[in-house]
Amino acid sequence: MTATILEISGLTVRYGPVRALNNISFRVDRGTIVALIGSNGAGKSTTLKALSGLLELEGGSISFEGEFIEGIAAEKRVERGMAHVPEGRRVFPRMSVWENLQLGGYTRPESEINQDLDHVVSLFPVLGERRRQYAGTLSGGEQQMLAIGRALMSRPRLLLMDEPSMGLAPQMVEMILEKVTAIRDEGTTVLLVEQNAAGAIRLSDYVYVLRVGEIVHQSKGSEINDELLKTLYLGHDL
Amino acid sequence: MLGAIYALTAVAYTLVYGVVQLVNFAFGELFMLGAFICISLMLPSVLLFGVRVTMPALPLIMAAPLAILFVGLIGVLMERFAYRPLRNAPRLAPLIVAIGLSVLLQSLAQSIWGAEELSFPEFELSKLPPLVLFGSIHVNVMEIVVLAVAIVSMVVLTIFVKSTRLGRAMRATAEDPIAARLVGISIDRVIAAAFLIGSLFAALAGILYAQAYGFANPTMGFLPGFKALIAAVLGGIGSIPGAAIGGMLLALIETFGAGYLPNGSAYRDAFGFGILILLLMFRPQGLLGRRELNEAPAGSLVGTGSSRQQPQWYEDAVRLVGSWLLRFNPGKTVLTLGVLSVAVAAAFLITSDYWLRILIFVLTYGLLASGLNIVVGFTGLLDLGFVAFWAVGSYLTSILFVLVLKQKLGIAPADIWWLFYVNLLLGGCLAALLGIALGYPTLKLRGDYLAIMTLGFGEIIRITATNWIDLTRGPMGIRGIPSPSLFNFSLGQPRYLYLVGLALAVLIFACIGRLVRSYVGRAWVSIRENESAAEAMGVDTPRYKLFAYASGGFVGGVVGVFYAHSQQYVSPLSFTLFENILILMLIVMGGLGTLIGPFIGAAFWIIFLQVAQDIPFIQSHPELRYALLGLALVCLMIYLPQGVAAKARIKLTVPR
Repeated sequence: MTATILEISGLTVRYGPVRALNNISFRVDRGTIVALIGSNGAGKSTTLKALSGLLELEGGSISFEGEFIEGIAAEKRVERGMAHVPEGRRVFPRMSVWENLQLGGYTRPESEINQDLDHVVSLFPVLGERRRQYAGTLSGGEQQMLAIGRALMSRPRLLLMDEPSMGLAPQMVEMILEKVTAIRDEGTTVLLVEQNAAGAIRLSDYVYVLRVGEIVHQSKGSEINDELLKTLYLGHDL
Repeated sequence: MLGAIYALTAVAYTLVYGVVQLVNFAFGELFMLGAFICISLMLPSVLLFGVRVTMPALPLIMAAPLAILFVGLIGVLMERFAYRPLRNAPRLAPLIVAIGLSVLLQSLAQSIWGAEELSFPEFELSKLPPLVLFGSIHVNVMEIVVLAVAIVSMVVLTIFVKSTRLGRAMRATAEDPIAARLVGISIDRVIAAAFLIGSLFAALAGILYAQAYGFANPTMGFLPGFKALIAAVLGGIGSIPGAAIGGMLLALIETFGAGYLPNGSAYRDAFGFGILILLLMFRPQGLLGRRELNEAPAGSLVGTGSSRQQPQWYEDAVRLVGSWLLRFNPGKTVLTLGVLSVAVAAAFLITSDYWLRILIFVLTYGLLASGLNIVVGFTGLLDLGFVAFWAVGSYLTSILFVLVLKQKLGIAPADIWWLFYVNLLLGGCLAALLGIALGYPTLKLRGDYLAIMTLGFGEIIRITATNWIDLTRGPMGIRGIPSPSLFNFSLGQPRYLYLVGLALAVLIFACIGRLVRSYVGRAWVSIRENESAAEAMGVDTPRYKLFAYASGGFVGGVVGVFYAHSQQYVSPLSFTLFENILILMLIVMGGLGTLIGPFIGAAFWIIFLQVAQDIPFIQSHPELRYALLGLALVCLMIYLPQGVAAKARIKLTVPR
């Protein structure tokens, strides 16, 4: 097993005339949490969407577990072991919690789904309690847990998470971030996109800072202090 | 029994709408194809394209599943080649494609099987003696079979959607296609499956219908298909039990209405439409539906770009032609005068009455299309009932001149020649009033529901014109409408008629041109581009929508008067839904929201019709022309959604 699970080079994405990602390259090591941080419009979510196949690339390559996947449809990437927890959770609101989770295991053999369900419920007990409830009636934090649980149902080796703490109460943010660490400790690699830079830096093994479509900084999380972060976000060094 | 058939077809609409939010009008045609294919398989030999082909003569029990599968395949192909390229296109495009497919399939069926009925070979079920229940209730075996098949298939479908893997994937795609992809669902496959199942249901319903009534013909799908759509809306589109309840309810209302209302059976078909209109006014979500389905997604109905990525050579070619057109740009006034003088000169240079009559047709259709263009092209309201305005104008002047003046009062038309000119205005105003009256209940509706409701209005008017015999002479039509004249000078010759039409065209063209460049036009376009945003910016959207209906109606009414006098004959046959689709197609072809587009479209179509008459194969199969029309509509939407004259779309923002 190689140390690198994901390697991106020269990734470029365009929205019409606007270049949202300009030739970015980075890599993610197996069994780590890597955070992508940056201000609004830096290209964090765009990176995740490009990785999971929701956006077409203008150029560049994505190598996942040693194979290039940029030409593969989004739904096939799930089968390969990559799951995306999208921005805004996007649970299926008029389906029950249980059905949402079952759909998460859509690419898995039916016989193993029950086992995976037990695993997700052990991580998020509240989902087990509310299994018959419509997902749309859950609170924001519970929906976020459901979205993460749904992604875990596909047994991913790489989990892409887009702003899991968005719009949640501080206590809930703490809880979710703890769970991210727990997921990593079970052996799933996590690529985390966050606005909550402090929280993300604290739990990550490695951090990339994006600004207007380019990587402006990379280091271990512990090497970033407040002063550096301000400079990186506000761009005084340019 | 009819209820069961409506319900089955309604399931098709509901299923596909639920997954992709598209009203696939072509299910009515799949319904018809199901019946045709099934019957063909059961016969020892069939005439196809006029050639006798030996068929296997299967029993019903084998022919029906084969036919259903075959239709399912057609449904899947339809989705793959016509709808999938348009998945991210503006809302209007798939709707127009649905209409185009419907026309295409219907005309193809007519070419293949001929216009006559094919009768059902095996008819034992309906010949069995009725069962007698409780000593007094007589039930037909046929009805029981139909009911049972319908109930069983719907229960199976409900279970399928509720608890199988693919069914769950379908519901997930309906709720959030992007999230569905992220959990690994191939939405292409799911949508194809929805079309497949929908087509299977439509075909099944068609076979049951044909079995019950003992025949199949190429237009048999239209009314049941449309009523099934009503049933789906009635029950709440997107809900399977809703479709079942809607189907039954509609059939009940029709039966009781036909039985108990005076003269009810003649207006039987109008009941469904009437209910639909009431329903959409007061409870647009249907009985079991949810509120949000009436909301059109934001974004332009017409769109600005091409609806999908085109190959490079194609883009280059379009750009090249565009630049040639731009180079040939001698200024607006010069161009307008040039076209006008050519048009006037044509009146004197063309000696053949035949071609002058064709030009009159071009003008008539171009004008009608211009009127509809106000509503569809500029304001973005898909109106499928526009022919009603045309009909109102035509009937107004015909009834006045022939039935009232000539026959009741005994006044010779020549003595009141000026009435024609008054009628132009009168017809226009009446149609405009009608436009407001019809527009008012649609104000709350957007998108697909609007299209369905206007379609209902158009059909009600046509059914009324056919059945209100005292007023309109019904299907016989009104003959002997005098040609227009000026003082004692008759304008009945094609040359003069053409000039009158041209004068009208210039007048109307100029009026529309002024109107759309004014603040009214800006308000219209803002509604088309994003109604919610327009409302938020303070545009009084109900008012301008009504204004659009009234203006479009006015043009339709005026043209109607002219049409009646130039044809000297009107009948309800001129005002069918098909005509409306044709007019819509002319605008789409020429370019929605352009002034000249409708005329270009009309010229293309009418001249194509004439040229096509000389091709021998088309001579023997005249319906093929309409098949080509449908095909052209589909291809246009996919490859050239902006129409031929897109460059001429009026720029309301002036570059400085």
